[in-house]
Amino acid sequence: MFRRARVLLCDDDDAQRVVTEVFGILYDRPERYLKHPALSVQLYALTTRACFDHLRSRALHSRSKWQAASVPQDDLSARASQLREVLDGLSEPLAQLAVYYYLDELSQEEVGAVLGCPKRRVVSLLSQLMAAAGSRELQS
Amino acid sequence: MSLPERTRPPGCITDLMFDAWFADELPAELGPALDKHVSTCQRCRGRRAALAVERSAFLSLHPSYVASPRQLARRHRRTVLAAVALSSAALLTLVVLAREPGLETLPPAAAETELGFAVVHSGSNERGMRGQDVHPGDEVRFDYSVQTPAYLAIYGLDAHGSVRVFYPETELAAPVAAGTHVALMSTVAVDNVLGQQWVFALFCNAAFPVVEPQRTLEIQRALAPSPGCDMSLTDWDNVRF
Repeated sequence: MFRRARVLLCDDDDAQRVVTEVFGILYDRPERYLKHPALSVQLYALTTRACFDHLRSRALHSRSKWQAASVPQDDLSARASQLREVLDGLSEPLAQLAVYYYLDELSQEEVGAVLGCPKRRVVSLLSQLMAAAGSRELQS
Repeated sequence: MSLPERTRPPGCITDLMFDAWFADELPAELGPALDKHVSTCQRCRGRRAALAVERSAFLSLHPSYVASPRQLARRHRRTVLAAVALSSAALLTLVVLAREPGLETLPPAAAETELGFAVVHSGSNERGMRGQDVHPGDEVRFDYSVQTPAYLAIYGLDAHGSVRVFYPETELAAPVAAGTHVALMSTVAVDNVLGQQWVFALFCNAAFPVVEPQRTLEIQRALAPSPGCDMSLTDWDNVRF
């Protein structure tokens, strides 16, 4: 959870805040999450959504909601930084897909499990994402 | 402004799968296949080690979650409301739920294993308690409890941050039989480093090189059990006479 938050938010303090929030959700609703057979997938999705919420609130104070709080330190953070430029302006489902597929490099089946949709839906969303990213690339 | 390239080679393990593996959430039949892949894939071996180090680091910084007073109050409120709804047994239910049995006390991570010790001092043998005082020159004899046969290694982390392998003396963790309070034959001499001494016992279902967790301890000053392992912890305080 912390790893997920840290890569997306590029800020250890913010990442800790998000993890605490997610623990809070788990604490408040243990019956909903803790008995799930694939708890890792649940936590992954929950933390990613919490990061997106956090980024939205960060947007209130900055020009771009994907703006990094610090300079990337490693390869993964550099990839996150590259992705961040594409994410700005994408719809949230496409932005989440981009994170799962291009940053976390999950398989299409895993993306489906995290998003709670079948693989064919993932394939369809991926083509939408590539089209959106392609048109933005042309514009830039 | 393009999407980053996917660099994970086909067939390699994703972080999500590593997490599920660490959490014992994968079907049992997948374990051997993943083990086999990791043993032959440098990228996944490195990634697994890196994730283990990250996990240990996080656990050492945040060993448990502490609920805020607001959360405690909210949970309590929900409990009381539920009790009221069960009006036929209102009084009994309210009493039981108000105590919230087990809600705040999660079972310990290594509930199935236990590490104990006895202090041998001037010929007498005294059962050790966590945090108890020992003195330089005393000898400590460890005992363990485990429900199934396992491979065991015991490490000490002293107040200066130095790590010692207390058991075994071999390169690989030693096989031990199942049992309760089984005393080890060997004893450990308490050294002159004063202060708190943490002792980590790692029980695994397969043999492992003793040196790997030792390195993790040296770097992170904490250990987190990998899949197939349990850990028990004890400590004593080394003080002068």
